[in-house]
Amino acid sequence: MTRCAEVITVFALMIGASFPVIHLGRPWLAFWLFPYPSERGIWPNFRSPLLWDFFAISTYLTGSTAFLLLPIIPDWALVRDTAMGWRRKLYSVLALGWRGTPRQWHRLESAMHIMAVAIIPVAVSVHTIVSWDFAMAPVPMWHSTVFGPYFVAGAIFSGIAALIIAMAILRKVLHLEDYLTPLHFDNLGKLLLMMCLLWLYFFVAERLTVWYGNETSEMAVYWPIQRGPFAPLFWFMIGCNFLVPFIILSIKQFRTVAGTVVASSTIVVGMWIERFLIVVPPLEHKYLPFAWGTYHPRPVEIIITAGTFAAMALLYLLFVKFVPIISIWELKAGIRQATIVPIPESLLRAPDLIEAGPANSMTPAAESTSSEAI
Amino acid sequence: MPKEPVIYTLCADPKAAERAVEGLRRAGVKARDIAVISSEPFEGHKFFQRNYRTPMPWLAAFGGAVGGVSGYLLAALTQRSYPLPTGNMPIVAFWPTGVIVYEMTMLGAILTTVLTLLISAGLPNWRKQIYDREVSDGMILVGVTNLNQESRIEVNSVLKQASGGPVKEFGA
Repeated sequence: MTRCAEVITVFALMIGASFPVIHLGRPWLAFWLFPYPSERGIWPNFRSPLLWDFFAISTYLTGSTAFLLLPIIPDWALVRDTAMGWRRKLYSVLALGWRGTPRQWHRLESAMHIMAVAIIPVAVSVHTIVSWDFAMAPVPMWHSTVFGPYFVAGAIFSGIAALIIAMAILRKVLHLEDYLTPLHFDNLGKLLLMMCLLWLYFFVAERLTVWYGNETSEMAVYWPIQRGPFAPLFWFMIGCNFLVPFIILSIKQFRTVAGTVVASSTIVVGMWIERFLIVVPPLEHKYLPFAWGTYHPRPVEIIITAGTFAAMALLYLLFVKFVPIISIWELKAGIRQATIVPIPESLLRAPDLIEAGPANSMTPAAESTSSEAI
Repeated sequence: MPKEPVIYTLCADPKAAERAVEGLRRAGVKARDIAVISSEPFEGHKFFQRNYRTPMPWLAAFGGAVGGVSGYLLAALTQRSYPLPTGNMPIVAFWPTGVIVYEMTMLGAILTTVLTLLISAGLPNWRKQIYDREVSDGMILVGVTNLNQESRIEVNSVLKQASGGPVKEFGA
């Protein structure tokens, strides 16, 4: 599961990081902005949140890529030993000569512990700094102190939703039913429910304080979103981000694979709309009335947006094609530990199965689940 | 003579590997000459519990400190070299510089961790080393390096008895 999630992180970051260049309009002239010594005299402005973004995204991308690739090395070694022809040569190079000595395992686990600790504050910082791109700008409804945690919660919320969708597709296409069990989806559903409520809390906190402040320029943005031209999108977003997932995820019987996928799908759509509503309406009504306008997406923008989804799907499929999407060595270690430490039977099965009756013998599905429980 | 395991056996389970390692130790084989290779970590087993203390966390902290200092120098020296009009506010402001220092600290720690892992685990290393493809099938390789010809028969016997399988010679 970790790998499924990390892949989403890395590819989403890669695509996101390419957008400043795409937004230039003339990406082939992007090097004009690079602060190397030249007659243009461009130097990095360290007061700009966009420059903080550069450092934050670079750090997060480096950390996430390392966090993704390091535990893959032993799996590449496993694939190397079973592959033939050019694939064997490829995986021999990728495995870096990994053999699996106790020293190598100890070092890998030490590194993973450090990376696991380091990546969390980096993740929080990157989403906070992305929110500061908005919050540091004097634009109505952007200049908000709650934007940092609001964006962090939103990233975790939509990230879990995307993970559930990816897991369900992988489970179906690669026949991973024995490894990605209903219990995984049930647990992720509970986490998603908690994040749904947290998202609502930040959303209400942000909207309520703006409404209570009743500042003229902010109200010029606030009301068009809530009951003006953006109202259909706004209420649809509320439905997608809160109503539908809350109903599905809070009822135990609906927290199945299909149920969590439906809830996740609405969340992904809802979160995209949320970002649209954060970006577009305030830019239409900035402080200076001469800058007011109306936005309509143009075909090029729609195609670029569609292209990001296509790029994400392509990169994910390529990754799944060449890399074991479930960590083989971690799974093996988990299964072995599960046979050493007995796991309560109730933890091994999904709630619907518990109601159906006693479990059978230790199936691979149950074993993999128990490893998660450990 | 290469410092590589010369003979080895493949154990089907960790208990057999533990028996093999214990037997080798009793036979007088030094701990550093016993090679164990597995496709998964065997935490909690004696043959896996050699003293592999690592300064990795300290090195990561040191890397973080170096990254943080580099971040400060990068931000401060750049801002001083090309001072922007700040309206009497500090040229090197605390908060923006702090963001850069924070990110560079984390980047330093991450890169140091990765480098430490690669160096201390001996990666990459594409030279021919003792290995058996059956390790990938879950077998545990237990072998001996720097094998004396006098102890070869005893070592052979220990390995065979522990694993219940054949004793192989690397490179043979």
